[in-house]
Amino acid sequence: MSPFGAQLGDEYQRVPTAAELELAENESRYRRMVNLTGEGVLACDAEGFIAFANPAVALLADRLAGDLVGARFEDLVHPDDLGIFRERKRLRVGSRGDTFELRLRNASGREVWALVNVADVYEHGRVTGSVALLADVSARREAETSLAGAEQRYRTLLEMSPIGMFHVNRSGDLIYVNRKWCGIAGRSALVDTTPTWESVMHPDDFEVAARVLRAGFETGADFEENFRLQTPDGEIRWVTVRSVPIEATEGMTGGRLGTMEDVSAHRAAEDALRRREELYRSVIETMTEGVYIQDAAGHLIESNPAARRLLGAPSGDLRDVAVVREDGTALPASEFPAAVTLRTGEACTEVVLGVHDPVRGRRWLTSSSQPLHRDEYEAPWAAVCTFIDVTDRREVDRMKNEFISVVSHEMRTPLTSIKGALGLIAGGATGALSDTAQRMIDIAANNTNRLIRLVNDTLDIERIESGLIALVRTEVDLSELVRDAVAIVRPVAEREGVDIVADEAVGSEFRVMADSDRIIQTVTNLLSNAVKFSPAGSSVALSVDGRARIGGRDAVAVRVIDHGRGVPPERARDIFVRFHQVDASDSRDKGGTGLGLAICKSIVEEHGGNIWMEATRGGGATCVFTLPLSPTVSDKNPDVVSDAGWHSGWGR
Amino acid sequence: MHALIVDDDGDIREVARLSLELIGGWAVSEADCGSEAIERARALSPDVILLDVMMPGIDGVATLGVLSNDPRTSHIPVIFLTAKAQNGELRRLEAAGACGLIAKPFDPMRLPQEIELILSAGA
Repeated sequence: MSPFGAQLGDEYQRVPTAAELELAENESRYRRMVNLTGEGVLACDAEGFIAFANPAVALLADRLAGDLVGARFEDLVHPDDLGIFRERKRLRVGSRGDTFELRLRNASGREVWALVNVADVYEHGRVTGSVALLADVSARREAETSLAGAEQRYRTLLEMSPIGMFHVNRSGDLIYVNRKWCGIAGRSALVDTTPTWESVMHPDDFEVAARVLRAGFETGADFEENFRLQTPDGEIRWVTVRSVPIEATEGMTGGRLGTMEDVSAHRAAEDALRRREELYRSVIETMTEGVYIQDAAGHLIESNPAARRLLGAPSGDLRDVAVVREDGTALPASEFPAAVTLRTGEACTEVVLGVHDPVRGRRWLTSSSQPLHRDEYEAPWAAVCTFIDVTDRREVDRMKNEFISVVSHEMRTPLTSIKGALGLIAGGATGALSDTAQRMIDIAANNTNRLIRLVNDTLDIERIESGLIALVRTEVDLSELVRDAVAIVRPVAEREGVDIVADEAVGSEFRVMADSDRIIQTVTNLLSNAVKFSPAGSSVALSVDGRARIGGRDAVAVRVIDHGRGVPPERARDIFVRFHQVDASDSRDKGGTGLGLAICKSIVEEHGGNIWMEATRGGGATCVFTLPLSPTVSDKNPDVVSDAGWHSGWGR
Repeated sequence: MHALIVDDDGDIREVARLSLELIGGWAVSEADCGSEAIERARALSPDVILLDVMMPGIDGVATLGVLSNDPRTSHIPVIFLTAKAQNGELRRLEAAGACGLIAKPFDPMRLPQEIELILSAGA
């Protein structure tokens, strides 16, 4: 029985004394107070059975107060917290009392946290029961739990943040760093101790960076700084540190919160960009070609020293100098290559500009310009214009031209007399000769002719290669030109007993942009060669094939196939070089000059075609040349008179 | 047929003369410079003038200019004899108004024939 139970039991069994009546009145008063108080009051016997529980306990347990008496205290405890309850009970043996918190078993399932103040009641040194006060602390516990949850969430966020974060105290010492901060500094995030700035900074930056950082922390303002860190394995990282001051609050040290970002990659990219720019700038500064860049609004963005020198203008801007065309008339600024490119979006190439140099007089420049596009659909935002001084080159060209002209005239004049005189004698115009005299005169006449051919061919190839002979290209049928060449060579071939056999395709039409006379000259040369090296009684075949290709373009191929002694493969390339005949004696035996194939090569290449030698199946040589089939507009002067008049009066 | 050969090189004049006389059976006169050519053309009124281009003094082109502006000689066909072969030159010669051109060195056995060919084409 509980001490209370014993007292209550006694109360009704005898007549109370006055003192007892007063005691009873007091007790009744306390009982009412106990019943009225919001705090749970519980009395248990030595075995833990409840002897008394006030209504507040019934409220906490959500049970009828009457049901509680006779139940065990343990029955009120949440099963999960029974362990705590029993442990505390064991520990408090011999002590005055204990205070702890646990959850109560609530009949309606609500989680009720109670602050338990419990004291054991002793009689003669023996525990005869216990008294407990239970206060409902659920609201406080709930608030604490949600606060802890929030803090946990924020801490997780900080730890997961892709940006380094830190908290420094008022002295600037780190008191918290997140995982990313450690990652940037190359430190393990697991180390218990918070690192110091000093331990992560680059030694060279340490003094300055630490001072700057500390000064920043000491100001009340937000600040941002860049400096280098050095990781334990020696890697250097650039970081940007930003920080804001925070006031101290309950549970939070005052100081500053901040972020630290790794900007190494960004800085490396910037460095690479800067180095490239320096590289290009040094190239542009040192190159001998003048460069200037003009934007769409017409502003000069850039010009190099060569431009300033070549134009004789300190600005390096073409618009600051007087420019003339080749014919000496003024070229307006709207016609300058850069202006044309900005207007049309098209590149300009090799525009000839005359400028005046105060020291050297008239200088000739060729200028080209290229559009700069941000994307392919937009008009150019700028034009890059380059120019080179071609004054000397033009002078050399002029001198070469003059030299060819003089040689051509000076050599042909005596040859005219020699050929004329010998021709008249050899032709019998001056009377009959003895056989020996006739033979000697023939030799002289033949060799004079050879010398003349040599002079003509040499001048020809010089002029083709130096571009002095502009091709007069018109759209023509290649087959027709081939047939013309066959007609020219056929009489010679017949004399040699060689048959020229053209394939059926020579009757088809193949349109090419070509200089007719030059192509006929080429085919004639190739046919004459083939006939020359063919044994009597053999044939030379000629074919035209419209299915050839030149660098991805449709082309037509002409083949001249002989059955002579052929060309050794190792010589196949050489024979297109001047004076490279297969056999050195050929030029004497066959009356060639050694320039025929070289001329053919020059002509074919000027037409954008190729020429080569192949072995003929069954012995002999096959010479092939190709010409582009699709129409190509001549970029030279199409109105230039051809050289054809040379041999046969004006035109053909 | 009467031809006037104009060339500062005496050898060439002689070869051309022999060719025209022997092969063609023509009558031939000579002049060794532009001014003499103009004089002789006015005086002789030949059927054709073979005119060298590069001569000291008045050159072939200038001579042709004088001849074609003179009513006494403007009807006489002029054929240039030239050792020049460059495009610029040929263009200039064509523009000067000659009726043809024979390149040096020419074939002496075919010279009269070639002249006749040019004349018949121009007629």
